[in-house]
Parts: sequence; C-alpha cells; structure tokens
Amino acid sequence: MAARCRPHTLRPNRPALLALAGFGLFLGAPQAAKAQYSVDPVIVQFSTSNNVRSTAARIKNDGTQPLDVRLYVNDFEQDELGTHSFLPAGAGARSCESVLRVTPDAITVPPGESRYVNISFEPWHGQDTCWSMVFVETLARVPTGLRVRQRIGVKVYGLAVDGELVGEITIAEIASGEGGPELVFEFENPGTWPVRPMGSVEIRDYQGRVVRWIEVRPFSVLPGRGRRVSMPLGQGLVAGEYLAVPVLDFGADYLAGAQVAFSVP
Amino acid sequence: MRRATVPANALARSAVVLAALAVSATPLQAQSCDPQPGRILMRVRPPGVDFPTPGLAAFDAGFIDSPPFRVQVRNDGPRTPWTLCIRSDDSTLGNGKNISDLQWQLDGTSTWTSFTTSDQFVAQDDRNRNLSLRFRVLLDFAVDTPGLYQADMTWSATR
Repeated sequence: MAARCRPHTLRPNRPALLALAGFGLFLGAPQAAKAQYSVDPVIVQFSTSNNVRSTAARIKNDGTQPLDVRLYVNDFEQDELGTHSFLPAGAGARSCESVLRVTPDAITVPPGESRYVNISFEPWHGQDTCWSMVFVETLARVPTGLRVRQRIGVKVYGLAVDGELVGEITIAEIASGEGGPELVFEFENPGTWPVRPMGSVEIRDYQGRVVRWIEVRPFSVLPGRGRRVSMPLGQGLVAGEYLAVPVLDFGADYLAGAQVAFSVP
Repeated sequence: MRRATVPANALARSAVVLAALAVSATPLQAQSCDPQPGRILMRVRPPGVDFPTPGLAAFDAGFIDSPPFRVQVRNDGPRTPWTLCIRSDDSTLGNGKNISDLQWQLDGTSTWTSFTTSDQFVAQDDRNRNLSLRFRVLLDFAVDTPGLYQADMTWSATR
C-alpha cells in the first residue's frame, strides 16, 4: 500500500466554499493510467497425495506500469445464488488453510510481462473436501480520496479421499419473470466433491416435440450445498401447454433431470 | 400462467421424465476434478477516484458525485460465471464520517448502495463485461466538518 495519501477535502463551511469557488477544485491529478492484470488458472484442485503437490498460477500485467501484488489465503463460502463471501484464512468450516501454501507472498510484475507464483498443498488425505481462496491483490496505486485495490481469486480445493460426484435437482418450478416465464430450479450437491453442472433446458410441447432449447452454462456447487438457478424461457411461445425439462451433466455417470408443466395463455 | 412446483424426486419416477432423459442422455462434456483452465482479467479505470471539493450546490443537493469509474472483467476459458464484489476496507471516511455515506451505483440502474466493510455483490456473468459506475458522498452541513476524507475499496473477481 502506498504510504502517501492525498485525500480529497470536504469543506462544509460556506465562506470557505465561496472563497474556493474561483478555482478548479479537482484535487486529484488526471488519471490516464489503467490497472489491468489477469490470473490463470482461477480454479485449482488437489487430490489425495502422500507428497507435496503444487501448481503454478500466472499473473500477467496488461497495464502500463509495474504491478505490485500481494498473495494471501482467504476462505470463502458461496450462497444459493452463487454469490461468494470471503472469510479470514482458517475461519471457514472447511478451510484448506492448514495445508495450503502460496509463494512468494508478494511480487512485482513489469508491464506487459508475466510472473508465476506457486500454489502448493501439503500431503492431503482429508475425509472431507476443503476449500479456500488464494487472492492476488494489487496495491492501491493512486494516493487519492478513494483508493482502489483489485483482487482476483484462485479457488483451491482439496478433494476428499474416496469422494464421489452426487447431485440432483430437488425443486423445479415456473415463475413469472419480467421477460416471460422463468424456470427456477434448485440443484443440491450432497456429495463430498464440488461439482459444476451444466446442460440444457428443453421446452417440449405435449406431442413431445422440442420447441426451444436453452443452454445452462456451468455453475459451481460446493459439497453439501445447493444452488438456485433461474432460467428465462423467453417470449414468443405459442399459447398452449408445455413441459420445461432441465437436464444437467455434473460429471457423474448419470444426469440430473426434472420437468415442470406450464401453460402459456 | 400456471405456477407449478415439482419435487424432482417425484418426477424421477415419471415416465415422461424418463423419456426426456433418454433423449437427452447424449453425453455432455463431463466435469472432472482436474484443474480448470482459464483466466480472469480485471481492469479498472481510473485506478483511483477523485471527488471534486464540494461547493454550495453540492451541499444543498446533499451529495457530490464522482466522475465515471469503469471495471472490465474478461472471462477466458470455461463459461463458468464470474462474480464481482466490492467492499470498503475502512469503516469511516475519516473525521467521523461513516463509510455508509459513500455510495455506489451501476449505470443503468437507479439504486444507490451504501458501502460497507463486507463484500457486496455487484455483478455476475459468464461473458466479458464492461461496467460503468458512479460513486457519491452524502453531504450534510450540520455534521460534516472541514477536513480530509479518504477510504480504500477492494474489488474482488472470482469464478
């Protein structure tokens, strides 16, 4: 973090405001610089091993100035809508903090160049999957009133011994959305490994014909957690009776499916 | 429109569903537990936010706006959605002014959201996005004192 600050000034004093009125009052210098960087990969999984395992993450500075970043571990959770919340390392119920290492913990990347950092896992034989997040965080670069830090998270999973991919769609319903009917379904992952379901929703008429096909893009579901997904079914369906049929592939040897009937008046 | 809630367990026994699944059982790309390729790129511009010194009009209005602030998120690799969050790293702007007096708004929306020190959801998508935001500081003649005000904010992008 930069040690120097040049914050903005609030002057709720009328005479002072009037005295300043004749000046250009932007206190910050013009800021043409951009802060742009990328991290690859952003999801890493370690399986059971008697040895230390590691992988490299690449940090690329696409900006025009040297990029100073620090690296550290947090824990995370994900709610049913997919939103992440972040916790201090070790605070998560299934934290990998005790076996997860990232080195170095700070690095400078010259403009246009890449640097690699090492994410490693101590020998791992967990009965439950653990998960944490390695953040690659920029330091505030401009000493102005609102100083901006960016961080990109690398999800790290330690996969449980003898884990399995399990999942099902537990609820499916049709709701009225702003853009027409929506299919809302809940996918539960009662297994011990994280899953990333993806697939499609078919809209079928009662003659069995597929009248519309909608892609369900991959979404992540932590072990023992669920996700609620809303899929707009689009407008323009001819009045009639239909079935919405979500079918999801999440890596198991079976697919998760459901169906829900709805009518378009 | 008829609203229906259907437990999938019950549906799994339905002949219609079995037929549908049979038709749809062409293997999709299997999900494995291997490392997932792909990267997230994040860009902010400008790298800091300056507010002009508020004048009479700003205090009369009760707030002062920042110039536009832009965040770009690019998602290369699997089309798994990314999530963008924002938080303040400080509980005040200084001089006893609560961080909730600092607000943000996504362009195209009408909602101003007060900053907190917890991560707040901003956007989620599986495509590349260019987001434009504005910040504002709420002003109050009665309580704001002359002084220097500042805060740090952190943007988090995860997949």
